Amino acid sequence: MSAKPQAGIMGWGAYIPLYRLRASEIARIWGYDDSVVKSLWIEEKAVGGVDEDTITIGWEASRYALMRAKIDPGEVGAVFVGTESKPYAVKPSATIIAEALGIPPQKLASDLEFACRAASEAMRISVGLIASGMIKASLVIGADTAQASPGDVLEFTASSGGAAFVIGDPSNSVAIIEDSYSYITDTPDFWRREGFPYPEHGEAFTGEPAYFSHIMNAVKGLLDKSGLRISDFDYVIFHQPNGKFPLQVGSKLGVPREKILPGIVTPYVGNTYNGSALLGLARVLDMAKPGSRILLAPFGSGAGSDAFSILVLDRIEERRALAPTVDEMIKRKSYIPYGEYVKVRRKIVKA
Amino acid sequence: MKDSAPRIWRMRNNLYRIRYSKCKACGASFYPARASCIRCSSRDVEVRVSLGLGTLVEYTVLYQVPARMQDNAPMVIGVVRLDEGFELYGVIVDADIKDLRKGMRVEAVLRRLRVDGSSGLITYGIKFRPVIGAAHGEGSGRG
Repeated sequence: MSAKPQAGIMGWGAYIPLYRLRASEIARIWGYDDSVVKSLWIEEKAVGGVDEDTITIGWEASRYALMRAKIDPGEVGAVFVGTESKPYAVKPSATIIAEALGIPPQKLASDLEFACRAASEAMRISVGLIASGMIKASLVIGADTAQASPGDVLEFTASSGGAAFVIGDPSNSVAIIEDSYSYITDTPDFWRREGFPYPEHGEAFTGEPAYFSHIMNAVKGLLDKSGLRISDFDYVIFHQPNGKFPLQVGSKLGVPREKILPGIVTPYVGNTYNGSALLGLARVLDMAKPGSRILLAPFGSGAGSDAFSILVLDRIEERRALAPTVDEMIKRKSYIPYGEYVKVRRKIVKA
Repeated sequence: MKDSAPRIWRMRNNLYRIRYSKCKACGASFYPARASCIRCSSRDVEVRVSLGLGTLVEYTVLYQVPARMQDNAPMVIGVVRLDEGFELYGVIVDADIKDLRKGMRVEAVLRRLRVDGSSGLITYGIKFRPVIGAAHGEGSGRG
């Protein structure tokens, strides 16, 4: 390791809305061939209810993370919301979530935007704040109600959900953040202009120069910096815009499939953007044995990737049952037709 | 209609959390929170925040709702008995009407209560939904 561990994950929480839309239903409505669905490895996606948004999703995940962290909300010195679907263009989501959780005013709070990796950057920021002694604990939330233009291939995967983590004192944590590394460039693979409801993307350009290049550079950078090898990790979690990409980048990095599959959630709930890789991390924390080492590599368009080495501690066993697991939320579902989806996701413009 | 920013701001503590009173003299719990006990009139009461876990006592389904809530129809309104020992009305979400039953375990969640057009304020507050997962609160760490 390049440095002494200075922060850990004290608690984790996830939230996946109840409603599901089958990928086959989207293909039927827009005339896609079934091979498109298979090529993405997406079965269905989670759809937030009519009264759900990034703030309510973030609040749910945070409540579960605080339960597992077993700390008083008054100890939280920072609240960061990583999202690209803020309910307000101007007015922070973090303040509403913090107030509703009973976190007192003496704190930092802001919404961060970097496509799907803003919450990942918030984790690195939090490690720095805790290591410097500025705060005791930080609440990091990755949540989205991901937008996709009706009929766009993106609509197969863009979904709603999120995860939250309390980052804090390593001596009261369930896992240690051993090391981390970031790799960021100006790459226009995916964007959404101010005031426009749906993002645009560079089709195949989102692959090699964006997703694959940045994740591979971040992971290689972490390995060089830490002295660790891929074989030192028991679980490997990548950003998952679909089910196929994480397996492909894993193959390029020499990661066995069985180390990637436990952290894959997108085929069952869709791509929750800022929640994507972090839901994978939550699922792995639901099952990982003490002593396991996790490699986490989220990615955000624009573009950047962070790689984290996370070591699971004995304390994790006593914290698991304090909140619902990701699998319990994956299994809790109610299917809706496309018509109801466009209503609850506010895609119908009324007079 | 324009929702009033000062009104939402003043109400936020009661919108975001279930604040109730616990009488130290006779042990009664009651909602909403107030300065004197509704049972013994003692003023030795303290305001607490409910953990939000409870049981559905009764419910009804509204098909005709105010125009600005049309997106939420049909709405289920229920009486919930919180584990702390008091009852309140609330909106029940994420439950298929045919699966609703008296005695089902529910928990308080933060949801959108009102949305003021496309440029006004969004009001958030407490609704109830069936609990998630095997740990149903009673005697578990989630209590």
